Amino acid sequence: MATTETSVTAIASDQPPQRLVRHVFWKYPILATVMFAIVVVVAAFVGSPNWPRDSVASVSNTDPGGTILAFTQELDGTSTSNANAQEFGMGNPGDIFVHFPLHQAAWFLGTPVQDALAAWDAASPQQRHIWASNYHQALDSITPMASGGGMGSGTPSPDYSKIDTLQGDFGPVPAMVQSDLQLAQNGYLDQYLQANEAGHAYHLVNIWLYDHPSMLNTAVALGLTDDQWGMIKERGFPVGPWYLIVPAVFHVKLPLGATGPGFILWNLAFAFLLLFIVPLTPGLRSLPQRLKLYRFIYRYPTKGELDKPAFTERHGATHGS
Amino acid sequence: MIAQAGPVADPADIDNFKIRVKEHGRVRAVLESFAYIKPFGGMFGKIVPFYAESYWYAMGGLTFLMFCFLTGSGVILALLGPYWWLTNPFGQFLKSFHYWSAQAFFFFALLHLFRVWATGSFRGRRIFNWWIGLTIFMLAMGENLFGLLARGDWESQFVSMHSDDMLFIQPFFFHLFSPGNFTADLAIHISVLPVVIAALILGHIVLVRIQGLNPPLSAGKPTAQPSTKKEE
Repeated sequence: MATTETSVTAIASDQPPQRLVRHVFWKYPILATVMFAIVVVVAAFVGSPNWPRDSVASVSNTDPGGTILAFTQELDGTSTSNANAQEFGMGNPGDIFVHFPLHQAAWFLGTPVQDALAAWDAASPQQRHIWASNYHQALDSITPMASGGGMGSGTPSPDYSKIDTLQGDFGPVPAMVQSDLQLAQNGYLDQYLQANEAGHAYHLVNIWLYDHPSMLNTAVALGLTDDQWGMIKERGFPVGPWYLIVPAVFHVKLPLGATGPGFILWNLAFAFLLLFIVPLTPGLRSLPQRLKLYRFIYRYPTKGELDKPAFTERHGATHGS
Repeated sequence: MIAQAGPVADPADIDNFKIRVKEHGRVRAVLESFAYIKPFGGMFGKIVPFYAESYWYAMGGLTFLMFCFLTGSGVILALLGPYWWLTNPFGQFLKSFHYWSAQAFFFFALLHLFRVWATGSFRGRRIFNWWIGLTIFMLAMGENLFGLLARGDWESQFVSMHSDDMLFIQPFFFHLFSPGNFTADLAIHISVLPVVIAALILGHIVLVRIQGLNPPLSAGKPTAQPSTKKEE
């Protein structure tokens, strides 16, 4: 009798019964089996993102003008890899991607390349920079104008069909980058870069691919850069990491979120909010009680359910305090 | 027809299979056996408050189940390598299984997080477990990033360089390695973060066992509840 009265009071105040029940675990094997089946079926029929990776050879064959531009920027110090070389733990990108591979392959590339390398080696660093910068400027003259500015518009590649029309004080640079293009197109440079840092597979290849306009241009065209909500997208696949929506909002919408320090600080602030502000701030910590969402979560007894003999309790509290 | 069992003479018999069959049938008794058989049986609390007998309270368990799926598929993927998982049909399937397990992990983790918040289960001493749970969630997002970097397809290549400009260039975060370094990404994804996450999950579960479930919220003053301890 006492049990029935207590349960009626509990329901009236929306507090569910706290009495203990046994046998809650039989559902878990069923849930596990169902979830396993769902994941297997979705994996088999929907698949997962798997867009073929780029290689030095593939982008150099589809966009040789971009490859020439990347090599030239590496030589004159204006490539992305030059800006991040210290962070990557690598040497001078002009040496890593152009100068050293050519030296290794010079014996089969012929006398013009050997002469070009000899001229490059004999020149001062200032002279090398002048030659490369001049060639970079000349490449700009055969490069179509970008539709806009900044990262959002991509980086156009020089028109490779007009490469031979360029005139100026370029020194050995044209011969070097043309020969390096040859190495890139036939796959030699891919192998060289992987062998050059054998313990760090694809490291140098990826760094070089980001120097080439193709990778970022593709990402921009497909809306995959961070400022295009790329953090929650995948190439060629409809479902991306949707659970990164909060960091993506920080990056795209909030002040300074597009900068590295700003992005990290916004995320740390959000973590602080969840860790400390939500559970400890008076008023805020009582929000769940005020919103009463728990009513959709707790199990409440059906009418007369607690009076059934099956709920006769016989066991002490071993769970809950 | 399930026979209703009366009081058990010897409390030691309470977990006996025959007693459980009498209480709620052979099928359910078999299904729940994993929570009773030694040596793992001792890890499970056999009884829960009535209000927690809800699927909402299974979200944490399902998140852990997805972690188990991820670990199992991840071990096989790591053993056979990226060339296999990118080109072999079964490798591609297992990679997809891993991918969707991760999706489900975050889905259930967020539902679990919501359940814990909505029932006020972060109050009092349980705030320590709230902190552990959120730490697991944040580490899981990092683990997800390194998984993407280690995947080896085009997206992996692009993000390794693009995130480098955004995230890893920060000196207070990383100058230790480059995310374009596939070997380092894979090592962190399979042997550093999962170990830390697994340890935190273990601590999370142990704390739940020690502290028990949070008493239920209610609109009014807490009402008297029948004491379960008086029953014996």
